[in-house]
Amino acid sequence: MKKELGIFAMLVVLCIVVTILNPLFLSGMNLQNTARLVGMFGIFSIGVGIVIITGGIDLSVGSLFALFGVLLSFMLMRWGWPWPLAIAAILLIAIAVGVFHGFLVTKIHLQSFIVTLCGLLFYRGLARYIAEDQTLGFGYCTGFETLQKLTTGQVLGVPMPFVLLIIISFIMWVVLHRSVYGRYLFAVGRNEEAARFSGINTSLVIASSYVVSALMAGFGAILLAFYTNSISPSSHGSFYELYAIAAAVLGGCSLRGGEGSIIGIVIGAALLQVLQNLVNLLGIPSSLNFAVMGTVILIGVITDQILGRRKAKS
Amino acid sequence: MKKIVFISLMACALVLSIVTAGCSKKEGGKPGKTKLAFITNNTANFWVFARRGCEKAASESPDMDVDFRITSDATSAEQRRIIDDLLARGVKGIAISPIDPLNQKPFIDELAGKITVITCDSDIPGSKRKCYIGTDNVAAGRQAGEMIKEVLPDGGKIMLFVGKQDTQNAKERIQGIKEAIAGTKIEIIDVRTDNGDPVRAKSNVADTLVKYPDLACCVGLWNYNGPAILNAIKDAGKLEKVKIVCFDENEETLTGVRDGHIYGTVVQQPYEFGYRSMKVLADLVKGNDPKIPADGMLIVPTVIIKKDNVVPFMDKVHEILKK
Amino acid sequence: MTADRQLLEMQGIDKSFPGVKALDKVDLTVYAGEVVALIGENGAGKSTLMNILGGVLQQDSGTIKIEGQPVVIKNVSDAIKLGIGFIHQELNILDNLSIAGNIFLGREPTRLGPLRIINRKRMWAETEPYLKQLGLNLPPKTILSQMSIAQQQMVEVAKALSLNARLLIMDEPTSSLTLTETKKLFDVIRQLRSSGVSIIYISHRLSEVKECADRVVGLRDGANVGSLERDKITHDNMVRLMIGRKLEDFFVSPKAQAKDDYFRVSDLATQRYPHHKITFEASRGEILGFAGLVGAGRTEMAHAIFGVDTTTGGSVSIAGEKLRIRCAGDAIENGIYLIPEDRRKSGLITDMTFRENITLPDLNSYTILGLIQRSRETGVAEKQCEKLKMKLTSVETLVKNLSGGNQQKVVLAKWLALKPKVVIFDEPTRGIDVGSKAEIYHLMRNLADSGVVIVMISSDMEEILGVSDRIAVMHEGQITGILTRDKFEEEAVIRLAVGQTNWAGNKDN
Repeated sequence: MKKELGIFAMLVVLCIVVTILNPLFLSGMNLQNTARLVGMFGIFSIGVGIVIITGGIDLSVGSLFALFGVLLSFMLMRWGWPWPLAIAAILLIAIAVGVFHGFLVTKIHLQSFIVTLCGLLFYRGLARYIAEDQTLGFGYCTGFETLQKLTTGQVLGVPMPFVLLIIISFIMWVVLHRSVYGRYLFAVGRNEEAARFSGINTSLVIASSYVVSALMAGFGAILLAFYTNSISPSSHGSFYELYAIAAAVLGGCSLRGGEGSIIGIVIGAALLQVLQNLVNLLGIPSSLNFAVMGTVILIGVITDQILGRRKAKS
Repeated sequence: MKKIVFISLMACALVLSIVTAGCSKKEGGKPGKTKLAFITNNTANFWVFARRGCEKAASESPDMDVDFRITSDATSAEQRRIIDDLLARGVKGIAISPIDPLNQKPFIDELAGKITVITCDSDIPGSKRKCYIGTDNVAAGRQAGEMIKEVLPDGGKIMLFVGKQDTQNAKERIQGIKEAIAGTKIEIIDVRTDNGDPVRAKSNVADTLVKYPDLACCVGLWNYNGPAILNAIKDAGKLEKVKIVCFDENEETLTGVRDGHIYGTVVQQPYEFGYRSMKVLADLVKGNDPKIPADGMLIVPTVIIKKDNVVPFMDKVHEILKK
Repeated sequence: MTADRQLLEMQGIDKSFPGVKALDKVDLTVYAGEVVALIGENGAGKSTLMNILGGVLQQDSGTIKIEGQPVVIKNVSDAIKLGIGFIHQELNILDNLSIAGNIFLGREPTRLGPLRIINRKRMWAETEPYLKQLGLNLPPKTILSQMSIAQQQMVEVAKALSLNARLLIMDEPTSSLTLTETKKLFDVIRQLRSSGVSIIYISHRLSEVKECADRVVGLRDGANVGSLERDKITHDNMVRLMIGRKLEDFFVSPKAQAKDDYFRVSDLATQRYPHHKITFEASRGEILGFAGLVGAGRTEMAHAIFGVDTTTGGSVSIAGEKLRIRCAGDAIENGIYLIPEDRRKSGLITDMTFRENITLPDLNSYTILGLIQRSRETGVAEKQCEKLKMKLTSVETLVKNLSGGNQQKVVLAKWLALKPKVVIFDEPTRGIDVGSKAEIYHLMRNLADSGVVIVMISSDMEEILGVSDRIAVMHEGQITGILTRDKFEEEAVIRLAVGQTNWAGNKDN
């Protein structure tokens, strides 16, 4: 709880500072824009966070966005599939990818870093090959307006991606913090051997975390595809896995495994998007975008460390 | 366990060999012909047109072989690798769009000593390349500036959006725009960059619309900026209020012009880039006179596409892409 | 013992932690060339006192004199400079480095001046004599991860020797050593003693203390409660010093049992010794002890029975019914539980709470509709806490903050909450104080009396002889002999452990 409070405080402080400098931060339009981005980025950050909790890492999500985006475009535009079928197909493929990763990690005993790094390289290459390096789009979405509304619309003024994030976070929170499976995830991440000696099927638990991550990436891919309405296979989603990892780590997931919380990951994702929003709203030169992110995150983490140590001493 | 590993490895090896065999067929080339090559600077759709132009030129000269290479990760390091590979294959002439003109100059000069080199789309001034075929980006910028003046007769605030501000074409286009709007009441607030990330491109526009509620016009300098601006303005419901001027002939951009949401776009003629560069290279390699101007700059003029001429242009584009 | 030269004098040492007075005006004197054993229950203050001497902690008040000169020890390197070497119970080795690398860590010999390239040949050469002295027959460039815990501990001893310690503090040095290695260590201690080095030896193994100590000092509740000179060092005296009461019947004798061969292992072959088959039976209510040297294959056998290692053949049956065990989950379902050798590595998740560890093996039974009921967990955890007489402020305490004895109880509690049929204990009381040991033996006996089969693997001769009803001795993957109570004797066990199956006193079981 302490770690989440820390990062939540940082988010609140940041929002207050930005509002003082530019009150338009709290305008309806800006809140909607930011909420939409937090929703999209938050969903796949949760997936990557689950993998991190088991002590692994998933570097492939960015490239999966490109691959799934390309496939989605093909299904809807070129092959004219009905959209429920296309969505189901994408999610099924995502699950298959997750199973594949899980198999390589638990049965062939490869390190997750290597497996998902190869995934990062392979899936993007595959996407570019399928798309023949061309940018694909969705045109006017004739035939699947419902899908477009579902992914880019609003519910009572709240952008759909954010609504989806709330739903998914709630489900994942119950799973992670209240269910047996969640407890097993933490146990395996902390001490895989002791977990195994307690009768837990550690291979299944670890493999399933990759399925969750790939599935979340599938959701994220669909939302991202309709946000830009076009997929450039070579650059779509490039390096987005770093956003997910940063969100998870900021939110309290230890890269050693066994620690983390859903709330923390979501707050972390929100923090990253607010930082990007702030660069534009305060007129900071775009080139300093990542510099600002890095600096603010560093300050926050250092403050957290110092305050944490002081508390431990007392 | 070991059996599974072995079978998987064999399967992978099999797949790899099939894939590479399939690929090498495309790029192999036949012996005895003059080998020429074209190297792009990124993977944008833009270059598809250039490729068609190259293919047309190659079909007109049966003794010529054209190898079209795409620089997928937009780095000068990769261009260097591609060039090394082409040299190994015995290529005689290269047309290249250099990613980092200033720092690639020594390398290109060295290359020019071995084979014929021309630059395309982006130039390396002062280098030993035989000529430059491309857009005069400053002139293109001026054309965009003219359109901005047309759409904002009483002046107003505008924002520029681009991937990277420090590339040659970006700098020149910005210069052209500034020259065209000098003396008017049009004010450039800033240039926002997105590093090539289309999601960021759109969110930059969204944030800009929030920060400057009285923004009059958005200008997109790279090919995906136009659609990103269009989408963001559509989402914000400000299609009537904020005008759009952009560059390049992205399908969404052209549709936007046709529907009246985008005032106009400045298109280059990448088909001509490809076609003419291969023709010029072939002449240079064979020793014929390529008929290039004395200053080595073969400018392919940019064309303004507005609502009145967009439809026939779109038809032409579709025809070229269909091949 | 050179009686006159006082090497170390600690006077009036006080040390408090928030809420706890760890040391209360403790005096300790050590003469040159003397082996002083420091005994006391867990929490008595032995580690705290030694940590002050070793520079890890600073005393609140009191003086320390080395050879009559008052000294201030602010940190570990001060202690090292004063010739104090500390070999901790939890080894401070880096298992990704070599023997020489570990010994010379921080003071590697270099060559080529400012380039500071490590002079490996010199390092290896300078390591050799220490290895020889300790009888460790491995090349100095062997990486520690490839060595057993016992061998790694020898490297720690070698490192201290290489630092020219005048006073060596050894905290439970033999907890992972075999009988032979322990004897070698004692030889080394004797050598060091005669060369004028003093040793402070902390151990719970009273028989070892009896063998090598010149003097025994007892600590109880942070105070020095007295010392015993050489001729007065007996088991009873030492226990009385430590726990302040006379030694009761430490080991509880069994109720009369019927031999029903409830648990049967036939032709079990482990991966390590695939050609040696293990066969034995054990009855309900019986404690079957497994003795043997380190590396005899006892832990491998336990892991094979429990399903965490694959077997290359053989079967396990309960009440005549053959069981199919392919993973730990299968064993647990059949009522077979394992208390593993290394509790921190495989027995507990130290960063989790007491409650979470207790409920882990059977988490599904605490759920409603798949959601864990915290209240149910807490209820069971509190019950277990009481049953095992653990003094916890809350079941939410992190396990890593508990003492060794309490941690072992947590491992036990995990399984006792379920319905055990067979419980395998692998080194149940390693590194645990006398008081907790007695409690664990009581627990084992009660468990056995309630109808559970107990298999106990132990390298502690006292424990094996005192607790078991029968002793099976293993050597290189097979059982060399099974002794009944009337044949219990240390020599018999050792002979079987080294593989001598044919000698006068041995009769086939």
